[in-house]
Amino acid sequence: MGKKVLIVDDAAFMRMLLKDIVTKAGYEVIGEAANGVEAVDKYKELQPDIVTMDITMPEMDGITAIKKIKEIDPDAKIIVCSAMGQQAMVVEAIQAGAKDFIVKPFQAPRVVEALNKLSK
Amino acid sequence: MVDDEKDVITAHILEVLDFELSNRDFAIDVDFVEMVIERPYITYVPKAEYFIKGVMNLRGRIVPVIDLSTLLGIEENTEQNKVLVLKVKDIEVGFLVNNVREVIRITENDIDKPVGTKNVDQKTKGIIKYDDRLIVYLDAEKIIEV
Amino acid sequence: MNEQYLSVFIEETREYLQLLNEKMLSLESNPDDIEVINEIFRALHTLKGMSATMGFENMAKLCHKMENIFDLFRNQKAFVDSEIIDALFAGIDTLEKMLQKILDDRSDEMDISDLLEIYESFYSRASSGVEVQKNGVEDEDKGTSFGNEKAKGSEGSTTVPISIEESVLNVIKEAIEEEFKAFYLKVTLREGTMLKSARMYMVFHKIEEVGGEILKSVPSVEDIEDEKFDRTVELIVVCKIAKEKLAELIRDISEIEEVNIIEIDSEKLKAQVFSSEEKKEVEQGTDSKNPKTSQVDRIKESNVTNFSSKITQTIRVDIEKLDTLMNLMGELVISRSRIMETLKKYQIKEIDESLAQLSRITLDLQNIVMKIRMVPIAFVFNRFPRMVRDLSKKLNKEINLIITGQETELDRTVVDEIGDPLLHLLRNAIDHGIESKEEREAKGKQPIGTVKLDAHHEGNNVVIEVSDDGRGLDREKILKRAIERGLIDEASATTLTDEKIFSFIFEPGFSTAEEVSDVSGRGVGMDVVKSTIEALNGSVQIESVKDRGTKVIIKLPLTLAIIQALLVTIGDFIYAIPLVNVEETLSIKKEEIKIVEKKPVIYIRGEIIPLTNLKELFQLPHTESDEDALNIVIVHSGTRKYGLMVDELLGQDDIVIKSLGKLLKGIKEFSGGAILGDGSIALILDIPNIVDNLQGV
Repeated sequence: MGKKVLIVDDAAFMRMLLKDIVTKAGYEVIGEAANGVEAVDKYKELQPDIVTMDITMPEMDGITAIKKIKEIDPDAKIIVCSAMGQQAMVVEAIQAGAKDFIVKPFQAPRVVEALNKLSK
Repeated sequence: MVDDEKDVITAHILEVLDFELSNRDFAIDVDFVEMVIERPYITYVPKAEYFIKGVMNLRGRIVPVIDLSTLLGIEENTEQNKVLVLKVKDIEVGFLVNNVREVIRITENDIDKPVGTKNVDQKTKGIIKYDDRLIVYLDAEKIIEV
Repeated sequence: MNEQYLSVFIEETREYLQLLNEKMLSLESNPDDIEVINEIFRALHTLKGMSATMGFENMAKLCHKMENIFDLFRNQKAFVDSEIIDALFAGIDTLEKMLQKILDDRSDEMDISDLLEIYESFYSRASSGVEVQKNGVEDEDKGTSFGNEKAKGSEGSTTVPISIEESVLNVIKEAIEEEFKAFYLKVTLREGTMLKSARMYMVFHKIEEVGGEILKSVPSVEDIEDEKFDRTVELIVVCKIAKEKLAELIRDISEIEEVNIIEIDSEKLKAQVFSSEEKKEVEQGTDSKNPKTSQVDRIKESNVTNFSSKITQTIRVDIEKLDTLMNLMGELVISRSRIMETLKKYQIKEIDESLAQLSRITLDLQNIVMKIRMVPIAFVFNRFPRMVRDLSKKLNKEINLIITGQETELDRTVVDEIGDPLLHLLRNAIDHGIESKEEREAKGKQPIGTVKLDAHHEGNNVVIEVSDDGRGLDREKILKRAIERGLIDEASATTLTDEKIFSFIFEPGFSTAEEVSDVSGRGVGMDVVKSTIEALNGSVQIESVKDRGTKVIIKLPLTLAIIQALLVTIGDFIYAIPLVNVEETLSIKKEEIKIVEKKPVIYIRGEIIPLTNLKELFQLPHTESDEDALNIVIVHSGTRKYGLMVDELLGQDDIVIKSLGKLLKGIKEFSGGAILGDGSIALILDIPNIVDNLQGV
């Protein structure tokens, strides 16, 4: 059984794309969330092994969500999804405890690399 | 890598479905064939092209039935009791035929390319020589184009 | 490979563009609303990411430039004015056009240079003040790192390839005495790495995480932050973990191509000591965290998220799947009737209850399935405020657009089709209906014109009304034009009702607008409005009072998938006539058929109605019936009526419309087919097309 992944992104399109990449890489997507609040709730509920977290989202942004999740589970493995030009945010996300980042447009091998590194 | 090699070997083998229409042998790429059914009730569609026999109810879908012998310009002197259901380029269509025989495997070398300009020739990929028989190898995509 | 995502992409982009339009309108009326600015910023940002993912670089670029503008707004480096609002609206329009282009030919190629120029100049104007200051600081940094670079070139051939200042060396020595180890690290990122400085930050972060300290970095931390490096960074690090372990930890970070590590022997380093000139560099190197704080603060500031519109829990379903579901539903209904018919013969009491239940469940199911296909008409209405704004600005008229009932739901297919006709009606209302301010004042009306758009349910129909308080239709002018065009003779003109007269404007090529304006008089006439609505099995009607205004009332069926139809036989086959097109059915005697201008007609209540023999039209074998009575179905399409001769009237039934498929698409006489209870197929007559065809003959 592949590791369990929670996908967080406000764009359904992005979630679908990621889900496809993640699933093809042999992971199991156990949930999706469209904003930070949902992400935190889903994290508590589903206890995924890995989370992919978009930064810019309504309700609660990704960085705040990372912090909240880290409060619940300091060992949470979170990959930040960023757009180009969000360098500073990525840095903040890493400070907040994200383990890796991937950049949109997503390249499948990069996403898989990040997942594999985290599931060691 | 292994897959590539396999592809090279199988590339020339074609699977076609051999069927009978007005006492002649025809074949069509098996990939297009969805099923073979007994001829159902066919509803005539006024104003349709001359070769369209009508529409049939195929599991709740309305599917046009092509009168292949009219389309190919061959006499229809026998009872066509079978419908070959094909799906070509997302279009589902039925062909009226007399009898469906078997799937045969041929190679490109078994096919003589068409040379004529008759109606039949324009809709074929060539003539297959198989077991001392000459089979007209129909081009399903061209038939759908009309 | 992206084809499978395209539909989702298009769908979602459309939603974002709609959101952008809405938010831009509210921004226009409330330019300081930081929440709105943030929302627009987010939407553009998301669109940028989505389009870049799909490889639509042009679209991504445009979004990016627009996003930059909003970045200025939200950091209060620039303020919203009407000029930039117009430019941003133009940007949204262009994005819409791009989306259409993507839909049509999978390409977002489009000349956007003018727009980009506007945005760029706005951006540079607004941000220049801040930029200058920043550059000053950067220049200074550059000076120090250049110094380093030079030193490296000439002296860097010994153990450690970079120069190490004395102060750093001292730290290393101290560290080694405290059982730390010192390393020279050369970290190379993979080619094509995105967000290089963030990636390099991960390296720094990792080192610090394991208790290490970075004493020096080449290029400097500032340069790394500004991405002023190629792929390689050299570091001097002290930490307690072993050489291989450290290398391993860094290699484990994504997108790291190579890590070279050399353990520094403090004795050997002495030879490499440099002047204290570069002390400053050291300080910066040691304190790698500080330069970031300013940046972080900024992020925190900008990241104060605002609550945006509620998100409802939905899933996206391919419309094709819904069609399939609808088809299956139809089959279920058919099977049910068949079972019931069969069982009726046996009259088994025990089964009655189950059958009744089955009927109820299928009915409920049918309702649900239909509801799934329903979307609120807001999908269409939402785009109008923007259009009305632009148009009223252009025509210099002030318009108050009142939209009500946008939550009214109707079939997705109808919603997709109804947009253009409504757009046309609104344009007409604003262009021709609403008078100029002066004219209105002269008439003693409010200077601001009102246009209303309303939708509501009425039984199995949805009614959409477009009304204005403008000048109303000119009855006399329409009548005059109708006579000119030979649509009616002068004698009978006097007897016509207003409704009948107004309906002439739906005739092809009928326009009373004296001058063709580029707003509404461009070919797409009211006839197209009418034919579109009729193609949806709907109807349209006009009410108008001079100087009080005009109201166009559109009636549409709730769903297109299931319609009520009259089943008739013609020859050996059953045909279905949509009930919306049926005026009445008659049984007449042969003698009642009169020949006028060589064509058969009948008189019904003083009205002459032309007759058509469907058997002839369909080229079916003609069977001369001996029966004296003939069955006639009077159908109408708009104002025209025809009597269709049929063999038998079978009655009325709910039918599920199914497509006849691509091969039979060319046949105009049928809009589809329906599968009847016995499994046979009834073709559905396309009455508007048939009537048009007969008119032409």
